[in-house]
Amino acid sequence: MAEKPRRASLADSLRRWIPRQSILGRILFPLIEERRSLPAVLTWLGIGIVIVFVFIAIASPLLAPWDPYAFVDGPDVPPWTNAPVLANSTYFSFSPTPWMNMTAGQAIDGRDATSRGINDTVVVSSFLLRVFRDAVTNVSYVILLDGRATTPGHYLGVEWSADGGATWSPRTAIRTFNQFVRVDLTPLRSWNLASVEPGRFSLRFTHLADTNTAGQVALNYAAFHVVWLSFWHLMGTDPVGRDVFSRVLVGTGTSLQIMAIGVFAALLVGFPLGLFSGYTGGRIDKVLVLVMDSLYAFPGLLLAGLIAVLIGKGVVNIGLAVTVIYIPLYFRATRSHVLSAREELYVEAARALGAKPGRILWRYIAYNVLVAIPVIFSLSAADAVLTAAGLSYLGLGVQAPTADWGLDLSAAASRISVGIWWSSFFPGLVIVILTIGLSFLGEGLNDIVNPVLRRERS
Amino acid sequence: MARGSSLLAYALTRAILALPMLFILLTAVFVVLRILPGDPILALWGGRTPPPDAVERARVQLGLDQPPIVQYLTYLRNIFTGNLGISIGEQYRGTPVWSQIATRFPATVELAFGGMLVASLVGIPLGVVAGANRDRWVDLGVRLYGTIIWVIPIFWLGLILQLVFGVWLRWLPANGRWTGVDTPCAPPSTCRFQTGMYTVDSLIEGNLGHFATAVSHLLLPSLTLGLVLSGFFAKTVRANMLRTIGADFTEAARARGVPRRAIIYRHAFKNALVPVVTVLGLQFAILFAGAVLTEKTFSYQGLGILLLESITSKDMTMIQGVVVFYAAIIVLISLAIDILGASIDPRIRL
Amino acid sequence: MWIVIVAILIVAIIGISTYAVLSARVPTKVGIELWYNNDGHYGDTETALALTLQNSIQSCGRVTVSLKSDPWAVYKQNWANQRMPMFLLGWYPDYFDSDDYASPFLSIAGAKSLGSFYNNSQVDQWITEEQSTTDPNIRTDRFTKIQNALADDVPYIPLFSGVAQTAYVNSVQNVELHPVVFKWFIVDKPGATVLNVSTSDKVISLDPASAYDFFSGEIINQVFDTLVVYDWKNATLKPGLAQDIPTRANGLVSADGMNYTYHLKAGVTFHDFPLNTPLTAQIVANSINRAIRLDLPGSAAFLLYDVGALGRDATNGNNSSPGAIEVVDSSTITFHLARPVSFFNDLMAFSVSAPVPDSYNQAGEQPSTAGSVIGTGPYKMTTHTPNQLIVLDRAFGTKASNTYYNKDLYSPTLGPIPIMDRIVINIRASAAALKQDIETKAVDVVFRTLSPPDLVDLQNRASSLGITVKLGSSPQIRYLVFNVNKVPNKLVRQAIAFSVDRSAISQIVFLGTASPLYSMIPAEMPYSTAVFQSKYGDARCADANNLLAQVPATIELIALARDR
Repeated sequence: MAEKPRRASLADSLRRWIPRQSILGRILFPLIEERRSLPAVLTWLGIGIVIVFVFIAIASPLLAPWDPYAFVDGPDVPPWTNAPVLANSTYFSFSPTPWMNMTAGQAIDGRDATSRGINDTVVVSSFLLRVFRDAVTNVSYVILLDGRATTPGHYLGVEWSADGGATWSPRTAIRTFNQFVRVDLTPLRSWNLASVEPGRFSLRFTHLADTNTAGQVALNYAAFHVVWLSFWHLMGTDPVGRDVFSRVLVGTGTSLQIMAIGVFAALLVGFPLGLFSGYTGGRIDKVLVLVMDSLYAFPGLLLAGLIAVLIGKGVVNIGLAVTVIYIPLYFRATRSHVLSAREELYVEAARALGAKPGRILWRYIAYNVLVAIPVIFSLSAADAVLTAAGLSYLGLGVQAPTADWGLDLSAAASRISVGIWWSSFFPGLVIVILTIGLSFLGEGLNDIVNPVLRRERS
Repeated sequence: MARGSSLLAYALTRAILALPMLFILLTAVFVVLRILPGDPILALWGGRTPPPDAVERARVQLGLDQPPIVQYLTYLRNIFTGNLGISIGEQYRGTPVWSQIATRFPATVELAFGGMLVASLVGIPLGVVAGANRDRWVDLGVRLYGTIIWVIPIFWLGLILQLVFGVWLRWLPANGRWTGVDTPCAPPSTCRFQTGMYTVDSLIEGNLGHFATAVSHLLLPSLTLGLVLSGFFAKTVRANMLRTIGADFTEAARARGVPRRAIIYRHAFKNALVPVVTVLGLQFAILFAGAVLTEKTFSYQGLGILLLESITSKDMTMIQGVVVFYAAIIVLISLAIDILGASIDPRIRL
Repeated sequence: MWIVIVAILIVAIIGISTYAVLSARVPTKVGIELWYNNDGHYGDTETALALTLQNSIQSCGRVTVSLKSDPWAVYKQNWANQRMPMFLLGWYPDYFDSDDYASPFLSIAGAKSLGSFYNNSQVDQWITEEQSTTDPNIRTDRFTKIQNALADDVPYIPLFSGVAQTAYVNSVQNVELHPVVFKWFIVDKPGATVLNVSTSDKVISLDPASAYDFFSGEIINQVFDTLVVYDWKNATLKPGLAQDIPTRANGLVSADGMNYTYHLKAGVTFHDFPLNTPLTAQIVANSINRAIRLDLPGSAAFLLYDVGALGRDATNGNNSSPGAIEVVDSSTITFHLARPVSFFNDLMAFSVSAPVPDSYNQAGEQPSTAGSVIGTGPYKMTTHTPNQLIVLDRAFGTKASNTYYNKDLYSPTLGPIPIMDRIVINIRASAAALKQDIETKAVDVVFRTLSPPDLVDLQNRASSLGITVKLGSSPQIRYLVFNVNKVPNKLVRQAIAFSVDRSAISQIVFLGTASPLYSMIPAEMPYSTAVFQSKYGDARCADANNLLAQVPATIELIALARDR
């Protein structure tokens, strides 16, 4: 019976290119051959998550449904729904009039516009509403009259126009004082985005009185209210009306950049220093260890913050500030590996054969130490993402309007007290997913490349 | 007698070894603070042009007219004589740094203890159970829990707890250290002594209502801090359990026919605790520096926030003071841990 | 097969990133930096404010705005060092005169210290003229000219007026959002002797010679008295330590407006028990000289020696100019100013002029601890735990036998002051903590500063919570500053004035709680004209772009400093 021809596995083809004892080989082969073991599963999971994030970071301009920097909708729109948004604005311009103390953009602060002459009129317009979508569901105006400053028997007549003042509605008498009077205009005509645009809607106020006695009427507040349905957002909008989902996507790039800069720079400094210090030993080693230990003893986040204050707030600068925390980490890890590798037989043998110290250092020691690097690398990468987010949260990291998870989270944190959770929840959630991916990767690799643990397991 | 003296000698050596570290830290802080952008003196006047005599006076007062090396030596001398100086930042200008640290430290201690308590209560049992049931589902679950909870941004967890317990359920206060007016031991109540830690003070005062308030404020921050730390605790305990379960003395006990439960919980756990205490002790020391992210999330006035505020307002003396205080604590606690370890296991001293 | 997949991925990634790079930027005409403070000096809303401004300016399509921020300690040096071309600032008046909204910004010296470096000798001249007269006709004319110049040259763009806000449980009375300084001594909680309040403000210094921030001034106002004080509801002046308010009519101001005489009330003592030092004219003179001489960093001493024209003379030991302060007798003091200052009475109502006993530290700042803060005011400070607690107790007598010298100041409307025996002020770490305090009614009043969403939330739930939320106009103004040296082209500044959208600021950042500002002099002050409204309005992109079309293409970028 002829043996079934075995299809060359991926591992077989890789074997041709990558020697089993090379750094890559020592990581890759266990990953493929024992892919059902827990460490390998964790590693693959981690690799998958990281790849997805890298892809998102690169493709985010294409994937983002909205401009991440523009105010595209009402503020604080909840996720997963077309929420009704109330746009309200008071008037920002008014016609020449005998009315006194007219101010644009009146606030409800007790300052009144008053009229002393019966039948004095004023036309107020430029209600600067922010309506983004042609889905107007409710239109009304709101009047607040000040009862204390109004003479009894005097009241306000209001007409409205939705065509820039060309035609006016019949007059409505407002005789309620000290509380908001809302007049619903929704059924009176068909409303759309164009009909509520600034400049289209105007109100005309007339000072009316029951008898012809002198007196005044005091208007505290007048506003135009439009309720419209927002666009649909997967993760809602943030406190200024930007799309949270788009910002989360674009923020991926920021996080990955800071992480990469921070971790690579730390590697570039910490690894050679650790090699050198561990191999030469002596006084230099002692001093370096002392310096690194001191650095390590400082609260890392605030140390990075101090450096960030020193060198600035760009993405690159924050990456470099984060580096400070990880240099000691790489230094210590490398040095301890060198110390143990130095005593290994093959190094002794090489030394006995008369190899130059430089060659021993690079060819024999560094090479073996390098295997441990991917582990520290992914673990410190997870930590770097957290540190960068923490810096932004404390206001020491990158600055607005950069799309950054930590920054968005902290900008929305003050909304938690009124129950608006989505604008801080989702940026935090992606931080968690990315850091979980990175630490799965790190822990999986750790189990794989650390032969002591493997021997223990078998 | 001999044992005691050698322990003392060991403690002394360790303490002396800690000095250079402190020294390097102080130097680094000194250098960094002096190359920070902006002039601390001009900052005091804001955009206004200060009168020339006033600038000169302030410079002399702060010793900034001296050459850097003299400033540096004065700085070291002041610190080693316990003089942390007077704040020059916007907010605390004129108040002694020491008094600010003293008012913030009790809050930090409370939070550190609260966090450690939660972390130990959750983390250590999880670690033990995982270690005892190696490679089973429980173990896998604990490992995943440990990994995941440890990488959750602490402020995010804090905000979620705040949202759920403070805003939605309204069970617990989400902000600050105290609701209400009379803090424990505030007049007219009389206390024999006052610690500044509200939980302790309310007990000294004997006011259970106050104690409940203090605890309710401490609960959410401690839970946040403790849960995140519990991941780390569980992993550390688990790793050390595995090591001791595989060790010779447990093998020996097993050979003697000691039941499995007893082996795990009496022999293995007890021996695993020594290295665990070292690691966790250091973590504790780090918490004493203030958990700045937790403090900020819960507007909790601890040392971390103080350091953060002084960094943003570039309050040089305050930064120096807090860092020195912090370094001293780290050194002291790690010293205590070392000595503790050495007194348990004499081999360390060799 | 694997190689194919990898190749496709690589090609896709390259393609996407090229697209991303190419599509990222639309060509624009002018780039400018907008700076803002990022450590809460103006509250948590500052980033949103900067974002909204950036958005409204950029949405016109011709100007690119890049945001920059710095903590306050660096920020306040940045404008002196001319590092910021366009930046956000706020102003709280020192004295309640329209001049305090004009001279600090538009006089040559003032503009230099506030970072616009606006230099217009004609405007400077008008300001001097407006300062030296009380004639309303001349002042109207000069202020109109000044504001027209402001609108034409646009060294500043007024944005909005701050909103004062407080929330209190319904039983509390007389909570007045005073336009100048909050008065705890008029607040009443019937049936109680203690009023518990909380705030998120921080004390910086309680030495009148040093304090120059709102909250320190607020505490000083309860503990100290000034020669003249404000009415309980508005900015009308009332006699405080002085018997009368000097005017030309009562002869206490000389005809040339350069000499002010105050007669002190009898029986005023400091609350430095058991000394109970009586107040004399010499003490008033010493206190003002002390503030001038010390000229503590960040203090308001310049209001006395510079704005108030009392001088600071090195030959006189850095005290006021020789002869500027004359102690006529133990209860009469006369100020001889170097030039007429029409609002000198307002300066005497500012905290920096509050008399302190001679026992105060004469060589530096007095500590702000309980026992070291000694005034003549209705309350004395009995406890001060920094960042935690301030307790104010009735300083003179009891409620039944009130011996405060000025107890009938606001009678009969209010009855004898102070009303409460004790005010306990809790200092909280955040706005969220304030909200929590009033929600749970742990305190009776919260004052400064609730965040806009919290405020709206409390407003909506006010009746179910049994609390009152009160909004009022605040004299604080917020505005954009142009450093005219860095943005020398007037057309660019005017174009930005056109494109600013105050309604967006009000709606997005303050949820409708802030009112727009169209002149540096706010609407409730005399002589104010809404010059920016008629000239620029809001969000007028077409007009902005018309102006920008005239801008020569050579000034593409304005001062994009090193990214730091």
